[in-house]
Amino acid sequence: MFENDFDRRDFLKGTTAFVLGGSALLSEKLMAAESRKAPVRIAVIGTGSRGTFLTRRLATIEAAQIVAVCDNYPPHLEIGKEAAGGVKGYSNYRNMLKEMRPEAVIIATPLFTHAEIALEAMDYDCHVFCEKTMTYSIAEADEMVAVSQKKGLVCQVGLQRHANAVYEQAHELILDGMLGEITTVKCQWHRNGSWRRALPVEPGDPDYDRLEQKLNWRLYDKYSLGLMTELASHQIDVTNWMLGSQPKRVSGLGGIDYYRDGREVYDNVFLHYEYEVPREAGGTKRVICTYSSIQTNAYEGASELIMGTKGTLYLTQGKGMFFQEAGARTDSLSTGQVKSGNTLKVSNDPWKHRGAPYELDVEGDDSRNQLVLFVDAVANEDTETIVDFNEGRIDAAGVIIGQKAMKTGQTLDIPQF
Amino acid sequence: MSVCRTYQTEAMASLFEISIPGEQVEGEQAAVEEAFNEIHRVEQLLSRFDPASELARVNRRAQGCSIKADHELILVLSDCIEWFKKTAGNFDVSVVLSESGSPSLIPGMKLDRQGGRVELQPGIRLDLGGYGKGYALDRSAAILRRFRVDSALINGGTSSVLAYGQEEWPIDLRDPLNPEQIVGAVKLKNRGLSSSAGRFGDGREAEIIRPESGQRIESQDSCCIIAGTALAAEVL
Ligand SMILES: NC(=O)c1ccc[n+]([C@@H]2O[C@H](COP(=O)([O-])OP(=O)(O)OC[C@H]3O[C@@H](n4cnc5c(N)ncnc54)[C@H](O)[C@@H]3O)[C@@H](O)[C@H]2O)c1
Repeated sequence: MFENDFDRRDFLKGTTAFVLGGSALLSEKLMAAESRKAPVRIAVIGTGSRGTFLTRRLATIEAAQIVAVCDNYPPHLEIGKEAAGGVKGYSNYRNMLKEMRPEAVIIATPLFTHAEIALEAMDYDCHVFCEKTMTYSIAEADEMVAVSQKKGLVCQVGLQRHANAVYEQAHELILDGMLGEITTVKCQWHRNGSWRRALPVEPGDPDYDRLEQKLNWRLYDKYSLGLMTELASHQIDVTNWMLGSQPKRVSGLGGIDYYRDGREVYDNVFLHYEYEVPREAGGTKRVICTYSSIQTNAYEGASELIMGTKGTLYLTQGKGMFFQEAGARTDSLSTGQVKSGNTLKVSNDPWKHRGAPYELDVEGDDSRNQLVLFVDAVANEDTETIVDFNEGRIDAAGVIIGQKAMKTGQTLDIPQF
Repeated sequence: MSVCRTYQTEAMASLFEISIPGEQVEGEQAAVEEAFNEIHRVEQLLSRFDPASELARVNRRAQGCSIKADHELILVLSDCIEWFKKTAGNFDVSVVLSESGSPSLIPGMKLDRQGGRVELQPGIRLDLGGYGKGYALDRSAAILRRFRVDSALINGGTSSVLAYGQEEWPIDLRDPLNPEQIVGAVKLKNRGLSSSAGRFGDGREAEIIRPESGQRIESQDSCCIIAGTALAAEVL
């Protein structure tokens, strides 16, 4: 037996802590016997902020061996090499794939390059972990899904909430019917900051414009769809998962209303997504999900609210809370294992109607957990990853069409997969 | 001192502030965001309380078992061993949870620098609280400098302060028993300052400031240390 016991346990702790009668698919996956003796040989492409973050976590996983890193911006390549504990660095990913022949790659480059790099890697029969959002266009996603399926490769998209015990428990609660019928979803990611990367040179420097495009790619629409692909993708994915469905239509408003710094992507977005979900009594019903992301006020932070006739789930990466609707409140949950939080109820508390929350907790780091699971899947050649390319495509289609709906001011249909 | 702009973020259970004097340079806000990102990154690495941090994982998993740990954490821990030696054991990052555990870092932790592995004696947990703050201050200053912020005062709550650049910053020292009472003042320039209760340095690498009422404060085991870096000020 090789490693992952220790790495798995972090994640398991969260899921086994409650398991509301249901069996957690993930825990079974995590328990899968590890038969391999040799670590999985992995290369990382793109060692900017996220790539370095992932490299450092990968370097702590016993079942993985980082064989090389690649970045076409030399200062980032240096950081990536160090984060990997001193491995060979490449500026060109094709050369790296050819010379190192890694079994798997992690792609953490800007959005517009994901498809090109993933397709090339799959051409070398590499298993692929691709950062979110999976692709810039739906056509690219179609191609990635087709190739990965044809070749039977292990593919995963970096939507790490699928490796987070808060979300896993929330999903189990929903399957157990604790929310009743879900009727409404409300997600937002509100922050206060320019979202700009600082540049190492001053304005007027001959390299300034090149570096601005290179380092602040997420502010320009030929490289990124801004808040939609960089933030909303996580939460549309959560909504898809919790509703067990995919969005059908979307409309929205967005614009560059505050920042005046040459950016091309919207600095605030407000959308309505429509889902068509099956009802227990037969037939379907519409569920509307409202989404917003702003960059000038952090009061509401980042969270998803899943609202049903019997209860509400408030979800964040570090903590989840479950509130029962007044009519549905029982003294204690029969599961007994979801612990009740202590909320002070003052008589004039404006939130009194919410009642005391039941808390969902997590131990460990979901970004690392998702890599443990990916490495495991590769080692076992298990193509059923926690977020496969088709799920990545559904998520990408939702945010890409959402962006288009805001640009055109129309309500648009979202392709179904 | 001329006017300055102050930016804030919450991290490590404290309010971190960056104050920048003089004319605002283009890109200042982006530089501050990078510096704050770095402080949050250090917290994710070194916090004992965040269950998602690397240190928390080591505390959970490395008890009686050698595990692969983050490269930077290994460097930090070997630096801690150096400080442990330099301060003749006065600086220690271990917390003992069981009676049987050894109270000391050196026997309580096995560090394999080359292999990037760490093992803790059962019952030993690591706490890098003060070190983490000093480390975060020094790292964020390096980032601000890299992005052409030439002078700033950074504080991580009122206990840890770092000044760099040409500006001289007047700092008041308060009586820990009576925070309203200002017991002294220093001018800080290119130095880290840390005030603490219950820890003491030998002063070899730092000057220990004893304000007027030093006697009394000292007897309360509180002191204020000024050193070349925020880290040294914390550790000493
Ligand atoms: N899952 C998450 O929570 C999360 C968080 C942050 C970022 N991300 C995703 O990670 C990706 C990278 O984001 P980031 O913030 O690290 O950006 P970044 O700009 O910091 O890093 C991207 C790196 O890719 C390199 N690069 C660009 N083209 C390349 C090429 N052809 N070959 C090799 N290297 C190349 C750049 O030089 C840069 O170093 C994005 O898709 C982003 O959405 C995910």
